[in-house]
Amino acid sequence: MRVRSLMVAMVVAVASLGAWLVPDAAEGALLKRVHSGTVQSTFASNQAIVALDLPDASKAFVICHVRGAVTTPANRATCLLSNNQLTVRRAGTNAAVTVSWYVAEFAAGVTVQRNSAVTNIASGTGSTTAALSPSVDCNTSFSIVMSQTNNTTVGNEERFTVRGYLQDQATVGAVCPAGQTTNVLRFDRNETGTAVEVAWQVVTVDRASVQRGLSTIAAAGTSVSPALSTCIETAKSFILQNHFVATGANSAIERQAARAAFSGADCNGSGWKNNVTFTRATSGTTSALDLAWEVVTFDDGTAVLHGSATGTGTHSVVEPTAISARNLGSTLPMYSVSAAVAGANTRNLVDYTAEFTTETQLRFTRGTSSSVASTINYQVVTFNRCLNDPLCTVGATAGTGVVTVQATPYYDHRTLSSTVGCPRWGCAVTVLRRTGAQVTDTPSGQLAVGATVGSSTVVYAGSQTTTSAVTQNTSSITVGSTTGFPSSCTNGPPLCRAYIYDFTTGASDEFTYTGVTATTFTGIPTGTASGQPLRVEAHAANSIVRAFTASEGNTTIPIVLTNAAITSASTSISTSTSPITAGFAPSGTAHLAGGNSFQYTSLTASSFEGVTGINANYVSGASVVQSLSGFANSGLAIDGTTYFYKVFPKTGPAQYVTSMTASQSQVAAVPAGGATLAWTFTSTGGSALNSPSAGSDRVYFSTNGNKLVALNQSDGTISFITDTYGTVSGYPSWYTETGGGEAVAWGDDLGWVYSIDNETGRLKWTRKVPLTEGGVSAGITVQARGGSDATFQAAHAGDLLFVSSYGTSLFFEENKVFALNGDDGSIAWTFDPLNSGAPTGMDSVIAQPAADWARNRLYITTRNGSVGGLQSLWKLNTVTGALVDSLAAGNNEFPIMLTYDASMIYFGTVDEQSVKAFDITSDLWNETWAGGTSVTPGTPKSLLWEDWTNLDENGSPPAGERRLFITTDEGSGNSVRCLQDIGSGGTSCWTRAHPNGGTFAATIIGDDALYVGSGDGKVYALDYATGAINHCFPLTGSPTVGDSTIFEHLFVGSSSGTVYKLNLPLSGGCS
Amino acid sequence: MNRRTLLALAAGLLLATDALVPLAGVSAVAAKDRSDRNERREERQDNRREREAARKSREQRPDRDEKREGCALLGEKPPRPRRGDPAAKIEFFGEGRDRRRQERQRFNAAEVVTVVISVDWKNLDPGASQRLEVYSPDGDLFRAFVAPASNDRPVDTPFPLRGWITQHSLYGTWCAEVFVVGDPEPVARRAFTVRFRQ
Repeated sequence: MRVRSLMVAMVVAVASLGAWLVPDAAEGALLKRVHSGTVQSTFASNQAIVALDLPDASKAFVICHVRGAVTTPANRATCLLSNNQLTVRRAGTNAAVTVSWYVAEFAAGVTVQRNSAVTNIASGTGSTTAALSPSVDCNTSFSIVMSQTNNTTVGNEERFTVRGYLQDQATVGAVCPAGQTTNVLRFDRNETGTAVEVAWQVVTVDRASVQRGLSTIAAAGTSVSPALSTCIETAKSFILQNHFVATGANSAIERQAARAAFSGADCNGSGWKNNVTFTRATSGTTSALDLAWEVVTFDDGTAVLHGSATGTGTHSVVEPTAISARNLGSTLPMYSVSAAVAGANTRNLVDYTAEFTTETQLRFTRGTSSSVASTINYQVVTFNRCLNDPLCTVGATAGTGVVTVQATPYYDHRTLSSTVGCPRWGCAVTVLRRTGAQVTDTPSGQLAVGATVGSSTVVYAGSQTTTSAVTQNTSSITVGSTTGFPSSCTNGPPLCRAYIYDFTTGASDEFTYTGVTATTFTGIPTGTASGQPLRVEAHAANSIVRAFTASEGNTTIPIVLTNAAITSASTSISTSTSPITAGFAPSGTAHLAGGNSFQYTSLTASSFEGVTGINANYVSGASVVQSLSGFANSGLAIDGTTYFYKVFPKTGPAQYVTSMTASQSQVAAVPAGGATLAWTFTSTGGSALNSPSAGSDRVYFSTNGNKLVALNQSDGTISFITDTYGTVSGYPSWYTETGGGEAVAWGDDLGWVYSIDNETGRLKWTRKVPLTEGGVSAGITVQARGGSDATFQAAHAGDLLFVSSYGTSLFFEENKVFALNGDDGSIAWTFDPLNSGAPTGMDSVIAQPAADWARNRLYITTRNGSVGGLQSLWKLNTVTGALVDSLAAGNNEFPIMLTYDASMIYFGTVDEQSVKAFDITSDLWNETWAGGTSVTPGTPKSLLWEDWTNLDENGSPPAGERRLFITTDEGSGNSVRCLQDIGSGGTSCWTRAHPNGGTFAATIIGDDALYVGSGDGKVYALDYATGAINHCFPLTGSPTVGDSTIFEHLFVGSSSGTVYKLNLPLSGGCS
Repeated sequence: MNRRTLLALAAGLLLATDALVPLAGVSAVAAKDRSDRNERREERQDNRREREAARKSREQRPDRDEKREGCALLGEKPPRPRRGDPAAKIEFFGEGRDRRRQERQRFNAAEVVTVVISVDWKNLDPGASQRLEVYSPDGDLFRAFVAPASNDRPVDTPFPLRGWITQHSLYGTWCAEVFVVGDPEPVARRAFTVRFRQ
């Protein structure tokens, strides 16, 4: 089949060398999850290690809160993060402490530098620095500094107070100013009598905005209120501070502890401030307090709640007023505190841990109960994760008699314990199904598959209760039902794996099985023989078993099986796999079953060497991690019945998350039947009216649900999903990269641009293009370096992506076009009409531009201004971004069409109700259809398509026989029109009015017919020659049918968010 | 001071300015009145036309079960909030070619490129966020928005009409529904209409 690839045919590029040499870093931060937990006070050594599923710690930072019962300076700890591990460390072991920790892990857009071991500031040293490599942008970077000491002498508390800040490279002792970069993180203290250890992190969040300063609360004062240089929105901002107290303060905790809050008059309406105030409870004549502070503002949807609370009576716990519900998988708390404590021996009264007890309740706990009241200013930071947080996507793929429901992982801290993370593949879920109507029931109690809940049925329980205690080395486990658990798996046949979790104790384990009956897993291995698969440890009755397979999920994680039992004394672990190097770092951390992990210093072909950190409770195992992928609900009717599925994440055996709207957690599916409809896929979040984009074995579609979904073409199941900040209304552009590989790029309505690796689904980069208003609506056009001429190749080292903007205001005429480098998203050039010699500004670009690689030209059609008259046809040099020419050519909202032989462009205008044609073989505007060809009473409403069925090998039709297809709005209904280019204009070959006076989407050309979707829920196949309706196919659910693409099959989008795969040719007709 | 108060003050200022230049002002007010009357008449005509079109559409599309549009497709109205519970009022604004932002429920996509959906809240807890869901005339969730919300000022959400709506002729009665994030039940909903007339 001949296939027209939009993006390949419509690509062009350019780059201005100056900008290209200095790419600005501007990615976006997309949260993966917030891990959290508490290290209990029982850790007796000087460090506790928490195993995490954190493969790349360079995209994560940790916030720790410490409390202790003792009153000395040793009541402190630091937190060091590394791949798959959090190390909570204190300098000595003379007193127990408790640490509440929060690790914010990002998928993209955050880069963290840190010290891998604590930095020692020796006794007698007042200041030191840490080198940052590479240098960080001071506009978008902030620092987190923790310090500790082993000093137990009361009266020395001020010695471990350390102030850290990003320093101006040119001026020692000054903070790095806005607009500069730095490679210096500086630490200061006044009292140097004691050595201290420092753990630091420098976090760079692209598109975050950071203001910073050094301030001092005077010795006789209790507060200071530095001004911010930029007014900020407090609901998007948080304050970080660290400080040191002057020599002579001597244990005066009340003078050291300062709380922070935004202050001053509203500077841009309610909730906007331009001051920060630091307040301590008591002043002292020799006790100045020196502060380093930063105000971090996010513009990516991150929300920050500020509040204050004070304990009353004799207390150790402070609970603020309940806040509105937070998703605890994307939220972390921070606080600052002041207290009128009585001098020395009171460190324990101002150090609190911070934990959420529910989605709405925050709790602060100190190590000692006292009547001394502290004032706690807290900040609750909820990072942007996805539109439908906490269940980013629920999708249903319908095949013949079967529906596969898939959901993205849900995380919740309530299933965390000190050493076991919330299951790395996400928490368990229960799925209810109802036939013919939305699920309105809510589950309660422990439910097994097949149970009835109101009008709904449990079709997936996600977990099952064991009927008896699970003993170590058991070979079978009996549960309520094994429905939904795989009976044949791809993970090393014929093994399947399940996960066992005790919600009471937090103990977890995983095991393999070879058989399954209705209620029993069988063939669980016993013993610890060489090469032994996973056996099960002992678990109490009512433990939870949950299914997963190693083939599920998005990430390939190496699996090896151990050769021998592992004990806590093991220093070497041999495996049955050789080599084991694939996927394992030369040194680092590896995981064992059940959440345990170990560190190793080197690898041989089949063993880990230099092993430390083994928990004695685990005697054998292997590391396997994956996320919930989905389950198949089979045996369904294929008579057009609609099945509704609603997903409820679980936080315990009988605890369900019910706080999401129906549109966030429910999908409908109609199992296909017959030869034409191969499958459908429906996701939550919004419409998917654009044509899907097919590449390799996947099909991509963008949705109003803030995501780009990649499906497997063969069966419609999810390959991967990329969450976005905004709506993606443009066509996703799939292209072959010049350097090898394939990529998909697109933009969203907030101005973010994304590029993913087609093979892995990995987000390569994101970038927010600099706009004063609006975002990106049009599809992205690509110019591949490999297909371009020498001029282009000399100017650009890689492919270019052309991104055009859309302003939301009717009168906004300052739209721009950007060329981004395909490798990293840096801006190669910017076309700003107002500063590029253009005769007028540029109205919004709604439709995808077209690129002529051979001539290095980019053609863009735009709207023509609020009152008309603006230039609306633009021609840019793709190499430089320079304006070649522009023209007032009507109000244009639909993609421009470049002919296969790259000799002509065509586009339809809204206000002139015509189709325009230009010969582009020279840079002169040669409008061959003078004034355009009128299509009145119709108004163009779609992309034009060129009939390729009569083209020669050069892509040219016989003279005078070029034919175009376009959809028009006739007022009383839509039509598909065929126009034949006879040179001086277009004559009508035929016009096909909608049979019911309804609407048509854009057409697509197949081998045998011209296909078009319709607002009546059908896809029509029109005869090329006559426009006659040969066939039509009613889609399930009868949505408004969107645009389509052909890649051996027909893929169609719709208003309901459903994408359809239709086998061609269509057959049958519609009544 | 909320935005409505500001608008009222702005309107008052406009009238005061008119009074300073009586001839031009009278003319402008008269022209504005004529324009408003024309718009209202046009809306009534549009209503009739769309009712007729909807009737024909229903008759001509018997395979689609679409007897209703907009909020009527979403089931029962949200109950009236009890005292102290979060309450929300939804308003729609369009920016016309006269550069005025006008509160309306009907919009011509040929003239208005963006509808601003404004939600004015009461009794929200600190740190609350709103979820705004917008449903197309055929009852499908077209798009959702999440944003921080407070009792201090309305949350304005721009809703572009150009692009998917015009390209797919999604004209008719739409429905905006708002929730407090964390509560699955809507607080308020209101319909608005999008049409296209050159």
